[in-house]
Amino acid sequence: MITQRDAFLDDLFFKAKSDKDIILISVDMGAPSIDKWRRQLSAQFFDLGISEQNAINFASGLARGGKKVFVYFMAVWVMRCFEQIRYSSVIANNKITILGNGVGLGYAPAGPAHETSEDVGVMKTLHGINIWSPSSSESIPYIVNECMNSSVTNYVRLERKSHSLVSYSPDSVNNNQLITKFKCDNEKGVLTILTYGFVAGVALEAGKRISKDSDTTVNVVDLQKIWPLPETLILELAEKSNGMIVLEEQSPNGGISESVSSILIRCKKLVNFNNISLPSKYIFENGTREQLLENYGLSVKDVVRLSLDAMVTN
Amino acid sequence: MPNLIKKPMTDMELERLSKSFRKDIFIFKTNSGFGHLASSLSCVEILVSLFFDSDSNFDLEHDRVIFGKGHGSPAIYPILAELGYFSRDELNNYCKPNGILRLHADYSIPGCNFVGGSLGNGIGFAAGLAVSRPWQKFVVILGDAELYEGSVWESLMFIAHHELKNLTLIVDRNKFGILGNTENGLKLEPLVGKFESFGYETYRIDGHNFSELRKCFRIESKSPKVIIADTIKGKGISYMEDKFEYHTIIPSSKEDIELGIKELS
Repeated sequence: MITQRDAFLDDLFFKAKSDKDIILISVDMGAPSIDKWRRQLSAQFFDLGISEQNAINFASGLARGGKKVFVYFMAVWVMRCFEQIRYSSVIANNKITILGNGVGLGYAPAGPAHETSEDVGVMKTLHGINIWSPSSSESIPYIVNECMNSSVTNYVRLERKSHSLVSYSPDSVNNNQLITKFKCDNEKGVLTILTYGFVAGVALEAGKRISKDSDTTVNVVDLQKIWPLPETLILELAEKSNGMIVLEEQSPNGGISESVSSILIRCKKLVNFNNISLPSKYIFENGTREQLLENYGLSVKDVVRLSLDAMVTN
Repeated sequence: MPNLIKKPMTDMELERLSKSFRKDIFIFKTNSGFGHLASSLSCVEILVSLFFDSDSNFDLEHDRVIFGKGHGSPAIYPILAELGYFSRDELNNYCKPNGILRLHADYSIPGCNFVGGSLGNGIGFAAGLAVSRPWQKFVVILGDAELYEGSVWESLMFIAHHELKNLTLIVDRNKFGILGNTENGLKLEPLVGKFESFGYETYRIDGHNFSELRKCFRIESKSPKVIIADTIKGKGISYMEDKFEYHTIIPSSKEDIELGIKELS
């Protein structure tokens, strides 16, 4: 199974072969897909060494000079060069795409120096930025195109490992959001789960179980493009739902759950709401990503339980 | 439309022009009370040499100046007005709600190619421009205290490795940060040795001397070039020169303003 990172860099490689303005920058980060760039497109590939600040400044200058620039590094390093992203790229309107690899607890058990429970919160404070967090490698070609054609800076959160959720068939697509509906024949209520990234798989499994066991129709919305939020869609779903859950592998401080609840309050949509997030703390524990998610209440079992708690059945 | 053709000028004419721009800067800064006057005054000859000396090997149509030390970037405003990028009346509107000129220059101002105000970033940005537009020359004006930023040294390694000879780095070595002389705070020297060890052709000159500036700008270097321009912070105003306290202080008393204008007239 191909990783999201390799899917992205391979698709970009294919485009770059016929578009000399596409530039890839790495900061001493390797990948099988990068080897191709180094060998075959060396004029369009820059290894800057471990220098994230210079990478963003350099990328911004290239963008100003007319290049389509993609910077690849570990997702957590967006906080190391946040000032340069803000100043040289976003404020100065030098559009680049930042590929952040290894999101959420994806680097477990490496610990919080490598894991990112705050990057969404940090990056969405930037005015006018797009944030993507796909759950599946299948979405990647679409996201590559969106970034290529975007007029603003994009931050793409990528999974470093392939995982079981590499292919699924949502029932509908709303702009960038993938919606899966688990319909219940004896429907007594409707639950909407908003999610993204790795835990979308948890949401889909939980949705299936809730629908089967609890006379509830469940909409699982894989947001995919998580910023700016699809406000109209969220309000439409809230209107039709008895409960709404945000499931995310982020801290609640700054994660999208805060923003969703803010939309609901501002628009007076009084749906029962809950968020299922990582704790607001740095996790110094050994374990696989799945084990840590279970330890902190992001397992399928926990999502089923907390979702049902949030439901109000008419 | 700006006039981008340089006329031959003597050093004396360039000096007169510098004095006149210094007076403009002093007036719009003291009128508004905003910004970093002393830091703007130290780099005037560097800019005048680039923009008005027909022998300085800087093409006004294609080549670009990028400010690392964005707080000194308003020094370029009277120059851009003189070239016709905008009306001289705009100098009177500096930092006013109806004016286009701000405390830090940015790309929304005609003739500016960067966003100023965050140190350590202009050099890497310029490196990107230099790679993407090899047919143009780029000159980065770095503050000496800006060299404390680690990102500068990340970029220095990159520029030297890739031998970006269409990029010239000028350090406005006015010797002072906000809190005093750099050598009393955290030593920067020996700067020549530091840049040379990174692979730069390094020149140290009097940053107020047109002959030395011209000579440096004209050198076709074999490797990327750094010019350490020794300058005087607050240059031209006797009571401000080499006084670190004036980094953020703009003269406001009638006597100080009158004396400043008199010294620059």
